[in-house]
Amino acid sequence: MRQIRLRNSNLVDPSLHRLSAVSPRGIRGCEQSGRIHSSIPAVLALVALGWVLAYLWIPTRSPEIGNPPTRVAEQIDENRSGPLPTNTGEATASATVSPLDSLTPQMRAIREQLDSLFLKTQWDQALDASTAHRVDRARQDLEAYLDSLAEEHVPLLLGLLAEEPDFINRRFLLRALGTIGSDEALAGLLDHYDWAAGNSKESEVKHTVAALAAADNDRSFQILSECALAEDTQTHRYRFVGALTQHSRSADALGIYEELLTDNSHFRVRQRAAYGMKLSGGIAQAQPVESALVEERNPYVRQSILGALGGIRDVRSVPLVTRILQEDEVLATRISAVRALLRIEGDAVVEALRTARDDSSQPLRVREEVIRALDSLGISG
Amino acid sequence: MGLLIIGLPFLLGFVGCHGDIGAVPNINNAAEFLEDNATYIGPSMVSPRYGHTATTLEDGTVLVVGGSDERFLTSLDASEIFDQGASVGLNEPIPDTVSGDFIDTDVEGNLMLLTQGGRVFHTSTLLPNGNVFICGGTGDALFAQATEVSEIYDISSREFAPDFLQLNQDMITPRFRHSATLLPNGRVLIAGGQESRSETIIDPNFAPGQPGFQVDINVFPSLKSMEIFDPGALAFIPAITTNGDDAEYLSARGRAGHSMNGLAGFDGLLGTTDDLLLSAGGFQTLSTIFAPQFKMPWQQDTSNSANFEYFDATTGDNRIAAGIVAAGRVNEPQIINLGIHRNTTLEFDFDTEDGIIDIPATPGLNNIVLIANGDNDDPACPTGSGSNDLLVATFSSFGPSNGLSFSLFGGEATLFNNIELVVFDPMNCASFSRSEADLVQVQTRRTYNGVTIATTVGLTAGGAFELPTPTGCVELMQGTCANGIVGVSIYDPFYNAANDPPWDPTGDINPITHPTGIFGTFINVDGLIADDVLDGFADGSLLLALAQPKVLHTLSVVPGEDGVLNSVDDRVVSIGGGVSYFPNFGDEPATINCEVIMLPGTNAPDPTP
Repeated sequence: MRQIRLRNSNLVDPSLHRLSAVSPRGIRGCEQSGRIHSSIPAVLALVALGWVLAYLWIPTRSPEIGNPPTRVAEQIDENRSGPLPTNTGEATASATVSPLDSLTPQMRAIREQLDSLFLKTQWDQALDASTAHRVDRARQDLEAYLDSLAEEHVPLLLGLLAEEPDFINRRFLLRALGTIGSDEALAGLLDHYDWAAGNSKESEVKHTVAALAAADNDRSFQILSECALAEDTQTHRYRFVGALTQHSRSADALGIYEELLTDNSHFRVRQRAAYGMKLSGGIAQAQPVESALVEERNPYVRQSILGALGGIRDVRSVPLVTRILQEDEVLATRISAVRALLRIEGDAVVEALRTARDDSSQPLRVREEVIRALDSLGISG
Repeated sequence: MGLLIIGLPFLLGFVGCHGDIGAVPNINNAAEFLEDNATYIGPSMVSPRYGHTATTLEDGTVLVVGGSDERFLTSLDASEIFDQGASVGLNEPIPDTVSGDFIDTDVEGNLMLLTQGGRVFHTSTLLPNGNVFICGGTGDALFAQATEVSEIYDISSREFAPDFLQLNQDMITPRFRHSATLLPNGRVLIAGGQESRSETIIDPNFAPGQPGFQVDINVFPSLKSMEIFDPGALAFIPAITTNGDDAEYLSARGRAGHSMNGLAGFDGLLGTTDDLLLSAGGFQTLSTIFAPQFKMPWQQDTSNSANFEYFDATTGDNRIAAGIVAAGRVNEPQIINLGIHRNTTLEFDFDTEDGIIDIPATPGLNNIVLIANGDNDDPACPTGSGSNDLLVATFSSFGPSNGLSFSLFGGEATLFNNIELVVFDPMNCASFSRSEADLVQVQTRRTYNGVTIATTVGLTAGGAFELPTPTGCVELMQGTCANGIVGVSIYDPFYNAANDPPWDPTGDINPITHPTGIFGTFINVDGLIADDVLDGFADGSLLLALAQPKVLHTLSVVPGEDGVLNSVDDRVVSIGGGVSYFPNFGDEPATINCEVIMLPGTNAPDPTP
């Protein structure tokens, strides 16, 4: 299991550590504070117990259906000249413990249903009308069927995710796991992130992080928070931070955003952190955001930080934003300043905009933006 | 240093895959110095995709819009900008040159998202004011309707459809797989494509009222109609001829998935009011219950598009040209106008042994046009023959479309687009054309007879050379002749392989046998100069090749170090794409990196005045 060092674990709500300590599998990819390490034996024991319980769970309904249909992979394989790509990292490596090996009759029935739907969504020839109808219908049916599944189906879904060779079918599974959002489901998603990142499957990474975010619960917040700061996930840090900004607990991540405003791993991380500040920041964040703006050289990031100041709406930011409107070398950044001033509002803003409107040295496009801003404030441009 | 020269990954590492931490906003178009005659891996998109559009903007950045990362079953609303100067460090000094990255935020830090959802089969047209007109398209390749709402991308704010650029109305006919071409008057001609219709079928096998008696189906017939977008009024207007008739394609059922480009009128200048617009390729589909009801070409759907026709923007008249191209073309055929030559005497003897002039002199004003790429939509296994068409459109008298004649050349060996190398494919796939691959015009330097000149060449890269069909042509894994292509081909309009010595990428010995540039040659550049033309096979030292096979990618011309577009150090960036058409089962759907292609001679001394 890959371990990732957490750069600053005290930026995360302390309650989250409690959460991870009692979780069945822990956060596999992105954690590693000492406290968590100390709980590894207990976590492993709980993981094992969870798996055992999952395997032993016997349904009271759904009689066993006959032999499962040919797997999609096998079906497709007959029509191909080359080997199928193999999926998925750890799960493949540990095939001997795949939950698919010991399914209960009810789980087998569900798997067969999913296999059937997976097969119907596939085509390996031209997408003619008949095929399009079949695929369209199957995708709807598959989505609806997956929506009906619940926490007890997570081991099955994870097993399928580990063995499913088609990227589209995996996306359905990723979404389903994110929707269920149980600890086990999210741990499995984190495993899948590891696999996708390790195999440079950028689209898969994107959809996996989106699934983690879709869970939108405390556990997913914890995972996203830690991955946003972990060294080993640095390549995709901006994706985790971006997902965090969409989380219902985004306001709890202001400390993370503040730290990452000056992150030097990639400019997009700073942009995403600024966006988090824009959506969730308050007056208390104005000062660090302004400091980041003064320090920042990348105009795209400067624009995002100006967007953050617009979201925070602290009138004390007006002088700095006004100076950027007057002096910045990049036209788009001046437009960002106008937008930020417009959101901040107030007398000082009106004065700054009027000055810019009357400044003949301002580029025409900027003056147009200023006039529109004044118009929207009810002041004739 | 954000780009990685292919072949040296072990030395340099993937430093540039997400941009370097030290770069600077391109706003000044700064670009890194790169050795020429090579291909470099560049940064990654935020959303890997294929089937998108890529539009080079005035500031040298490239706007990437829409597309899919899921076999066209869904589409992306996320958009981004490729900026060679994007990767600026936090507080690093601004370097002279930078490597670039993709930007996906607007001036307020919001994600750049299309306002009407994802689009595939849409168009993006650069407007004279620097903004981009995003038109039509559809949400997927299944049964999503054609998108009726178009939107404007504002280059200054990086926003789609800001309030002050809201269109006043929707397209008259929602459509996808259409063309949207800028007219000399600044308006945009929207032509052909496919529309969405719902039709009701009565099945006599069922009694009235029973399930199945009445079924609604979606159909997507191709269109003859045209309409015009007026950026000034932010509105669509009907395309009408001077006689008051509807301007439309003359093909029986219109065209979809065609290509359109300009011909200079008798004034000899492109972009003036006497230009004509040439349409070629594409397919037609009736798309009723008796015909294909889906969005793709269907079994030799090229019958009515092997002809080409030309549209007079002044009169609104459309005419079928006298002549047909060598083969109909679907799946992204390409037209480029390589240049205009007035009153030249053009004579060509392709087979020099017999001394017979194969093409006699044609006085007048000549547009030299290349119609290339695409495939023949063969029911068994769609592929192109590899032959491309050279079209000489000659005006011999004044007046739009008056005195216009066409000379069409296809099947000549030099016009074959040889694919030298297919990844993992040791077998000889001979010469095939490329489907779903762009062909762009690039300003570059070439040296002929010891004299360096500035000139325009065509460049194409990647593409697919077999497409899947329902009747037997299964898309196969890598290792056969059925995959995306890695080869890069240059069309040098000055070089005639039939007469001239081997083409030399260093440019020291190339003679100018045809100063007018007519009748050039597709060239693959590898380490063995003698086989750069017509061999069709790799010698193992291909210099210009993509790192990954790509189809449904885009090629865009971007500025070189000088930061100026359409100058001799321009380079080409390949963005996105899949490893094959409808990416292979199980594959990562879209390529991760962009790639920058540096033409031979890019870094040569300035042309002789």
